Parts: sequence; structure tokens; C-alpha cells
Amino acid sequence: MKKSLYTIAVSALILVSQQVTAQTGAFSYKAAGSPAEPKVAATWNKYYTYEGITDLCNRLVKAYPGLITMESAGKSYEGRDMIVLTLTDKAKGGHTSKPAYWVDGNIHGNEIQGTEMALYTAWYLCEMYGKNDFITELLGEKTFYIAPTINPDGRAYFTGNAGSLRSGVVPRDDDRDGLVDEDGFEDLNGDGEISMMRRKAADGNMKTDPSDPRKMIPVAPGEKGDYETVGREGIDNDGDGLINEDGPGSYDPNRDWGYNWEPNYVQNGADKYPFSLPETRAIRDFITSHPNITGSQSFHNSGGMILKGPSVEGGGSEVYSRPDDRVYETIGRTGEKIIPGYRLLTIWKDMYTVWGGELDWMYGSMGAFVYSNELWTSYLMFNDTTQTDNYEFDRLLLFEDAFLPWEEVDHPAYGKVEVGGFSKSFGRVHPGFLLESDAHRNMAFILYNAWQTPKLEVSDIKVREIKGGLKEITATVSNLRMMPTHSAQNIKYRITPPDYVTLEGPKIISGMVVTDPLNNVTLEQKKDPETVRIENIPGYGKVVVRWITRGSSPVTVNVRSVRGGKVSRATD
Amino acid sequence: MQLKIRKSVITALLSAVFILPLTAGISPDNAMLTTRIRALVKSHPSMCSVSTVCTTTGGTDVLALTIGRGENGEKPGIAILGGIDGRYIHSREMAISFAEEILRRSSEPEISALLDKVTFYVLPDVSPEASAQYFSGMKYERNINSNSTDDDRDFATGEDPAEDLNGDGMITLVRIADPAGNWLPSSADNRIMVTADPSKGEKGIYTVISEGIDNDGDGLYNEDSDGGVAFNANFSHNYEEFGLNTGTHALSETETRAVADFLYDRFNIYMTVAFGPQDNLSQPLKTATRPPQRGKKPDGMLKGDETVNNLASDIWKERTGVKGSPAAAFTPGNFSEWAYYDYGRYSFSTPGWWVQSEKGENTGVALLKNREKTDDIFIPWTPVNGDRFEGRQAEVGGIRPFAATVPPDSLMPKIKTDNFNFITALASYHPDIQLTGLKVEKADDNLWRVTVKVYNNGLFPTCSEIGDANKFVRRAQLTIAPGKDQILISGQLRQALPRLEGNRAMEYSWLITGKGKISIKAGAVNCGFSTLSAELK
Repeated sequence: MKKSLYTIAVSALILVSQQVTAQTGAFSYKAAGSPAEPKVAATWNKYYTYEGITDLCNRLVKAYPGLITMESAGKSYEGRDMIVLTLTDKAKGGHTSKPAYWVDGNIHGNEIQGTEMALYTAWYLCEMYGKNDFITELLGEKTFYIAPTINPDGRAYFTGNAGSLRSGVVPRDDDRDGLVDEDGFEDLNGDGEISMMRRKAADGNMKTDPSDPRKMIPVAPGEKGDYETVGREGIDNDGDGLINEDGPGSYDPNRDWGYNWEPNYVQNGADKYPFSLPETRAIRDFITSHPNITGSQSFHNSGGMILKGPSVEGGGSEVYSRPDDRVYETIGRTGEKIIPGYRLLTIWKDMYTVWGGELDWMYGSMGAFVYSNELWTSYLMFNDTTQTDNYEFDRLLLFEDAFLPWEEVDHPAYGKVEVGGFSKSFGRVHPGFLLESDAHRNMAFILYNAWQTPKLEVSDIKVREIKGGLKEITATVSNLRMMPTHSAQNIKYRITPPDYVTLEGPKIISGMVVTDPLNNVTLEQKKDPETVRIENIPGYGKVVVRWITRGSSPVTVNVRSVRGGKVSRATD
Repeated sequence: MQLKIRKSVITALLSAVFILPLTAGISPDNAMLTTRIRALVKSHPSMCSVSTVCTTTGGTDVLALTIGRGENGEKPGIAILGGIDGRYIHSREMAISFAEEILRRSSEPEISALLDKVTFYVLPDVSPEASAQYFSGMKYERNINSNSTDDDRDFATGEDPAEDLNGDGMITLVRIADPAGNWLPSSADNRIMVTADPSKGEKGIYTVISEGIDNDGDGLYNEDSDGGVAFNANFSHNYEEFGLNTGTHALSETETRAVADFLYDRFNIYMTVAFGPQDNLSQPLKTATRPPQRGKKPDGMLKGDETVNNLASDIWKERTGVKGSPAAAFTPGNFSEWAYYDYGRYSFSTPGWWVQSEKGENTGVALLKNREKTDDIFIPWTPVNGDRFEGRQAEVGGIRPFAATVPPDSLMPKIKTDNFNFITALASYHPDIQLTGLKVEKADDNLWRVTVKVYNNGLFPTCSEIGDANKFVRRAQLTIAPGKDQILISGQLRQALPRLEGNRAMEYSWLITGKGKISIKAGAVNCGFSTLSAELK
């Protein structure tokens, strides 16, 4: 009887799956690792405008109410909502009860593809939930907080204007002349792009490349050129002899974070003080009110780098500890494997010093494990580190779609100039056909990180009788993943509470940590012995906790950890 | 028994009548301060206005007075701040009395001229929640606001404040007899507790704590008080991350951010004067050993700012007659250094008053020696119930709160007058751009050369050297407006002027074709404007 029921159930399952295959078979065949028939249609060979981002997020929320919610962390300077998505399997616990991973993109207005990496991650998690065991388990155990763009005004400027900004659009007097944003770029030839200007010059130091007339090359010493380059498209609006020196915005949102902050003459791009900008303030408030964030990724472009801190030599108080360093190194090296062409680098050592960066705040103030990927590398053009010619790639693979042909216009100061060069859609951001591939790889790195956030279990409970009716109950709590519940910075400055291991059931006489299980060395906790406070549960490590009790079994051991989640185990 | 009571009553009366109470009249409480601010606006409506800088978490307004004639935002400005540290309660009085005095004397020729040329922004109390403690039923030296903070980082907020164990309305000290303690009475004055020096064969006999109990049973006393963040530790220069009462990050607080915004919004401010713990007037600051560079902050005041600091210091010493200096304490995140290093303005600060101590002398001993003749500043050690201290003998006592930081009432009139005289004297040297020596030469037919000198008539440079590299400090501009039939052949319509030292001039010229009127304008809001015009004919 039992057997026949099982057979029926299995046959029914086969029938259902055959039906699905039959239904979808007419139009598509599932490729490994991707959703064949997503409920939410999305394409990954273009860039979403702010309106497009909002629309896609709304559709995900509508299609997957059990997995995803959307909220606004605040308003940008121009009043756009700072969208944050929360993803987790709600049926398996609320988002705050699980270790969480933070993802943001597009902090710099011109570094737009971080948004697509973030959105692809949200979309993929929703679409693969229930279809892939790993993704299903991951959403059961972890939470993702995803902010597709933390500079929505900068993005809207990029997608809606000819120019592009690293900054947001809060007005600033860049040239300190008392006039604000009075001299920005001008699209002189009206092609919707700010490109380069060149001028014919008999003694110019540039010439056109004989093998590709689009390309300007410097002349050899002694050789006479026929062109000179005269900067980016624009005029001198305020008569100070300078072109484009005070456009919209200008500050660096990634120098606005309240850790190791320095003023603008020390750190270019710093604004008035830490968290001067409404966007960084909104994100700060969201992150500080979600202390379960254990790791984070902040997408930038470009260069193909997996960046880790510190961003300042010596690092102040955020010098990483050896155990933390091992985590950074191991996860980062795996990232190099996941994303070919990307290299794990330390910011101050391999790049430059950054004061007041988001990454240092995330580690320094929040104690989270944080990477910042610099998306897109010329390696991806021909999968080669030596073949990296933009012009050839544009000719052979983009059919010159990325190049704006040189066009003559009249310039009020320079006379006849030619305007042209690469579009802002190429050079720092991905060409369409490579976007999905790199989004998937970068997402895979995020998921690997999230998977390595702590996973706790009460792996053992031993009960031993002591003379006089007392019992000794010893519980082992293990962390099955690489990240500890507390980074070194978190331990040093007590950023999140300790992990609490509570015994329920018998009358508790005393509680203690077994600091050396091998030699049975203990440290008693006199106050509140039922809940033993643990400073940290190391990655791939364990802690042993003991109680002296009077009374009978069964007992339950509950573990509460802000960054390790909640688990419990009972004896029979 | 009766006699005994009578005797104690008499003693109490004696101290009340014959010894000056420390607190009376030295400073207005918050309501009184607001009344005085509003009264000034009412009595001098054409020269004085008030604005709200912010409302604190606890609901108190931080107010700012703007004092001056004409277009206040278009001429050099000076910000004067009190209350940057609530323990220096007299700083409020120094600031508000400056405002009262300058308006009272506004018709005197020198003061009147100053009000035409300079705008004064007076913020009498920038941390009113800290100051309020001085006027409360339980006095203690408080420099923090009312935000809820976890001072001891045990994930509970404000769970172990101080307690007034002897009910005298003050928080002083408790000394607990303890063979393992490391405090003992000072040999110079046995009322003052000092730490034992084992190298001198000393052994402690007391544990000394601030007045209160261990509310949360963690073995520490008063380690997590009611509040808060210290205004004068929450600024970004040398900010201490995770410090005690320093906030979650630099400028995390309503008050600090609002004051910074108030100052940043006023590009005309070229100098700040703060009354508080820091001092760079009795003794000018040391200069940097390395020039400013990208990526590294300077380690001292820049060489180019030395002249002005020396000038200010000389004037201050001359006006106040004060000799010596307080133990310099440029603590992390203080306002005064922020105003110089990060805000980029000339920044001066003085406590106004301090007790001189001899080299190596205990400050408590020095304080008693200096003040006891006139003021009752010591609360004698008196036993309290030792049950809260493991049954040990415990006594409450010590120096009265604020005795070390707040001057005696009797000195306040002089302190106020001296510092008023100092600020007005220093203000008269404000940067002052003037266009002079206009020369129009006919270079050729229908071509003129126009030459002009830009002169800084003040002794202050057009901006501080530290501010010269700071994006939030205006650069003086030189602009020329030709008529519609005129063309500039040489020279710029607009150009930024380099930083110009006091009493120095620079020459500029243009070649212009076409007859007609031209006008020239030089300056910026932080150093004043000057205009000239000429007819090319």
C-alpha cells in the first residue's frame, strides 16, 4: 500500500514535469544556470533608467510577494526614492533574524552598470527560487538588501542628458567664484552626447591614425601633426577663460562616509563633513538600522578589480586582523576564479588612498566584510590582457556603434572644431552583449559571499550527573561557514552585541564558557548565568558553553546571534 | 543637641551670606538667555535679527544673532560662539554680552564704522542641553547633549548615571576606604585625592569614583550617564572614532551639523571666535612641519597664517593683561581646530579664565589655593552609607562642580569687557579689498589700456592660507563689464585673484576697443567688494 502510494506520487511528479517541458518546449529549452521562462520579463543587454528600475522592482514584488519587498530608504536631492529591496524566504523567518548581505550600485553617477549587477541578482534569486536547491536554501538562511542605485539623480543625469557625472546633482560652486554650476558641458553638435573636441592645427601634436581615421595618435618627436585636442565639448559660459569648470554637482559621494573622513583639500571630492549628502545619509540610516548586515558589495567601474580595504595606509583603527584577513583573501581569490580578468587588490596599496569611502565605513563603523568590485575590464573584449584596443573591438564586435563620428561645428572661442570620439556608453560601461555574462559572474561572487556568512548550529549537547543532584550541561555551538559572527573590528569596538547562548528547562545554578575544552578550563559568567554571552563564534569554528543545573531534562539550547541568525536544539 | 543643630544652621547661613555663591548672576539660564536675545532684536531692529539654527532633540532652540548694517551677507563676517562646552557656562555670557555691548555702543564712531563694514554672527549657546545641567537641581559638569548613547558599549543606554548620594544637589566624588585602592590624600592639601606613586614608596588607601552607585552591577560606577554626545568632540578634525561621547561619526549630532551648516551657508565668514576650553590666544599655535598636501592633513597651523595668529594673540594679551596660559588641550574633534582646518577660516578660541598652577602642581590643590579665599568651592568629605560599597567606609566630597572652569562672578565684568575690546580691535583689521589707481591710457586709435590696482586695505589676508586650498572658501574675483560696443582684446572678463596678504596690492590691465563706459568689480563676500568705472573716450 505504502509502495503504491509512493509510485503514484512519483508518476504524478514526472507527469507534471513532462507537461512543463511540453509547454515550454515549443519556444525555449532551458540553458544551465538560467531561468528558462522567467515570470518577470527582463533583458540584460541594456541599461535601466530610474523609471525602468522602479518598474522592474515593482514587477518583482508583485510576482514574488513571498520573497521580496521594496522600500524607500529616503529621498535623493531631486526627490527620487532611494529604493532598497529586501529578499529572503519569508516563510523561513523574517529578514532581520538572518545574516544579511548588502549590495549597492552606481554610487558614482557615471558608473551605471552596478545597478544592473544588483538588479540581475534580485531577479535571478526570485526566478531560481524553488528551481535550484542552492538558491532556495540560500534564501531560506540569508537575507539580501539590495539598493540598485544609491545615486539616482546621477543616474538620471547620465541616462537623460548628454553628459555624465561622477557626482550627484547637489549644487556646488566648484571654482569658488560665487556662481554655482554656471559653466557645465554643452552638446555643440546636438547629437545627445558630450564627447571630445579636436581642432585642425598645422603644428598640432596629434594626427589621425593611418590605419583607422577615427583614432587620434600623438606624433613622434620631430614629426608635425595636423590636430590638437581641446578638451571636452563645451564653451566658457562665465568668461573666466576656463571651459566646463563648474557643471552640475561636483563632489564625490564615495568620500562622504563617516569613517576616516578628511576635508576636500586633503581628500579631493570630500564635501562639507561626513554624510553631507541626502543619499549617503539615507543609506547610512538603512544600514545602521539593519545590524544583521554581515557582508557587503558596492559596485563601481572600472578596471576589473575586487577591492578590499583598508583604503588608508596603516588604516588607523581598521587594520585587519589575521583571521579577518584570511577571510578576505580566501573569498577574494575565489572571486578571481568566478570573474576572469578581475584581480583582488588592496585599495591603499594597489590603487590610492581614499579618506571617507563607503567601504571603510562599512568595515570600520559597521564591522562588516566588504568588497567593492570595479566592473568592466578591457580584458573582456578579446579575453586577452594584451589585445585591448577599443577601436578594434568597436569595429569587429560593435560595428562602430560606440563611436561618434567626428563632426565639424563652430566654437565661440576656438573657431572651427570637430566633435567626436567614443560614446559614454562605451569605455567604462559594458557593451550590451557582455553585460549579462558579467552580471551573472558578479552575482555569483555575491552569492558566494552571502553563503559564507555565519551558519550556526548547536552541534552537541552533553548532560553529565554531578554528585548531590547537580547536572553539568555542555553545549557546543558550531559555525559551519567561513565568516565569524564578529569581525575583529566588531569585537574591538563592540559594534553588535555578543552571541547569546541560553539554556531553557532546568534550574540554573551557574553558567560558563569552556575556554579550553581539551583541558577543561572554564570562565564563569556570574551575571545572568542562563544566557551565556559569547564574544565571537569564529568561521569554521565552535564554542563550548556549560551550565551547572539542578532539575530534570529535557533541556533546550537557544542561540541568538545578530550576524549568525537564530538556532536551537533540545534534548530528548 | 539643640545647640548642635543651631550651630550647623549658623554655619549654613554663614556660608550662604558671607561666601559668594558660585552660581548666582554669572550666566542666564536658557529662558533668560532667549529673553535677552529677543530683547536685542526688539531694541535694534535695523541692525540685529535672530534666526533658529536648530532645535535640539530635547526641544531647545539654538539661536543666532546677525548684527550689522547694510547687506550683511555681502561683507566680511565674524562668528562668535558660546556654549561649545557646557562646563564653560560663562562662555554664554561672554557671547551674549558681546552682542549687547556692540549694539549699545553702535552709535560710537568706531563701532558704527565696524558695523558698516563687518557682520557679526553671535551664537550664545550652541549646546544648550549640556548647559542646562548647570541650572538644574542636580549640578554636574556636563558637556553632552540629551541623545541616548551607549557610553560603555554594553548594548544598554544611559543605564548607569551618577547619583547625588548626600543630597546636596551636586555630583562630586566618593572616596571609599580600600586597601587595594590607588588613591591617597595629597601631601600639599590633604582634602585633594591623588594617585599613589609606587616609585616614591606610596600606597593607595582609597578608591575614588564620581558620586553614584553601580546601577547595572558591572563593577563600574556612572559609566553610562543620561546622554549623550559632546558638541566639542563631535567635529571632524582629529575626530576620535568610537570615543567616549564623540558620537557615531563626526558631525553626527543635530547641533554640530546645524552649526556647521549655518557657518558653511555664510561664505562671508572669515573668522570665528569661540569661548571654550581651547586656547590659541594666550599662546599662538605652533606651525606645521610640513606643507599641506593631497592625502595628508597638515600637522599644525600653516606658516602663512602665523602672522594673523600672532597679531590676535598680542591684541588679546594686551587687552586682557592675562599672563601665562591654560594647560593647552586640543582634544579630538574640537570646534576650534575644525573651524581652522576643515572650515578653512581663521579660528580663535579662549576659555576667558583659568586658574594658574605652578609647574608640577596638582590642579585641584592650585584651585583651592587660588579660589578658597573668596569662594566656597570645597565640599568637605562626609560619610555616607557604605552598604552600596560593599560595607566599606565611604565619604562624599570634593571640589564643587564648575569651580575649575567657571570664573568667580566678581571677575566677569572685566572678562566680558576685555574680550569685547579684543574682538572689536581684531575685527578692525578685517580683509578689505579696494580698487585703486585706475589708469586709462589711449594705446592707439580706438584702443585703450585700462589698468587698476587691487589693494587689500586690511591686515587680514583675503583668506587664510589653509582656506586657500579649501573648496568652501570663496576666492576674490576681478570682473570687468564692457559696454555692448566694446571688445576685450586682452585680459579676462572674469578672473580669480590669488590670495592677497594684508596691505598688499596687485596690478591688472585690459586692452579694450570701442568707446563707452566700463565698470570693474573686485572682491568676494569674505573680503568685501569694491567697484570703479571709467569712460573710454
